Amino acid sequence: MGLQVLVVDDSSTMRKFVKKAVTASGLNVSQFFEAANGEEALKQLEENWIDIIFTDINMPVMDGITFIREAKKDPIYREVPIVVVTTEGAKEKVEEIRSLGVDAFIKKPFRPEDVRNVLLDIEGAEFELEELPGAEGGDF
Amino acid sequence: MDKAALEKMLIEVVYNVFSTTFFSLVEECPDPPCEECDDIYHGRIEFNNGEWGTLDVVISRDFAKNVTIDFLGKTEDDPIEESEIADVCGEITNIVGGDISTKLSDITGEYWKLSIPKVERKNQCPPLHFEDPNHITVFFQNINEDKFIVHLAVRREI
Amino acid sequence: MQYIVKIADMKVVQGTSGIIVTHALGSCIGVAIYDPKAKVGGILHYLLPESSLNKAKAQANPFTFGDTGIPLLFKEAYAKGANKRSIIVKLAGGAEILESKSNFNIGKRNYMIARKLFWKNGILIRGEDVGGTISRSLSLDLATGKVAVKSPGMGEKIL
Repeated sequence: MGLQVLVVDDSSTMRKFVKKAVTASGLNVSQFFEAANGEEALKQLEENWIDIIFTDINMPVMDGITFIREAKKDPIYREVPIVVVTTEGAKEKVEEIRSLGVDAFIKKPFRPEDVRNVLLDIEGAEFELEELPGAEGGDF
Repeated sequence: MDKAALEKMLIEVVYNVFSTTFFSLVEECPDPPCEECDDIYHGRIEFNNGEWGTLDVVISRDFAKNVTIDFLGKTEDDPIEESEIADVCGEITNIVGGDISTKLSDITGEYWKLSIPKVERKNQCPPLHFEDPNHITVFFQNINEDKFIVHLAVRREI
Repeated sequence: MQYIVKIADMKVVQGTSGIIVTHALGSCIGVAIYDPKAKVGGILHYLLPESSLNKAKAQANPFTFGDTGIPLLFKEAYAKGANKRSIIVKLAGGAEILESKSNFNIGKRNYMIARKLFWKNGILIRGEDVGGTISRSLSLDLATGKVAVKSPGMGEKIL
């Protein structure tokens, strides 16, 4: 059975980029859900089963740090792996984000290959990435 | 940090951002262009609400469109929405600004908070803060000589 | 059996024994692909990034250019039974052989066209050894799918 993936970023094209990279990584995704800020992301969590979250930090309305804090308060959402994808790289900020209990950290700018590498590294999740169910598009 | 060091940092950041995430090789223009910018996107992001500085990216719509095609992994025949081009310009501004804020935070030991980027399509070059004592303007180009400008104004000691 | 891929050349083989190898990768890029299920492997050794640089040459030998050679490498592998879903891509080369201050040197451009084409086609690069100023050899062992890079004085590196 495929996984349900939530991608949170205020940039709609960055959400597309992350989705394409996740698919190209070979993760078997049955459905993507999207949110443009933390508030929308919490709503998506309430309404849908989510297996893994990719989230930006610097967003309007509700930022990623507040979103992760809220999600981690809930006993069900707390278990969902979170990959942070952000421009934030200042040492103390990175430490603050990591202390929230996130599973992986991708610093923008990043290559699509970085998404595959963090998926392989998430402890306890052991995602299968050997086949490429979504290898399509382009001209070869 | 003197102006030359700041400029070097800016050039490295812009090269790295474009080659890593946007699949484009860019470098500093040998002769800064004085072309008419009649169709451009202007992205701006602020550090600490603008009190510590601002970063502007001024990019021709044609170049921005090509970057959008590569970023989204589309082919030239695939449809592209104007809103996608604007969004990519915002993301370029965001990532370049974020990388600079990261570096300045580590140098100064204080957190350079980034705003949400604003993007507008314009038919003339926007006024940049040339009056700021610590401002840097760098003209870049890609292999096809499509040009863009990155302007960094720093308003505090670093 | 050793299959040698020359400069601006390609070999795709279906089988479980033998080695495909290409030498003298300077600013050129060697792309190795392997489908472990179909036991199909291939190497392309291209010289220049875009066929728009010389269309007549691209027509005479499409393996000269990344943008014409890479699609042909995949198409040949599909014709021999490979499936896009299980193909593993690794690459090497893209060095800066003639000293150049420009970011537009051929090595960098050769590497960028590969990244761009793979991204357009939803394929991630699974291993690489690129850049620098060294010359490399790239080999693919058809028995195991192992891809190795060798360079003078640097020994062998498994990608």
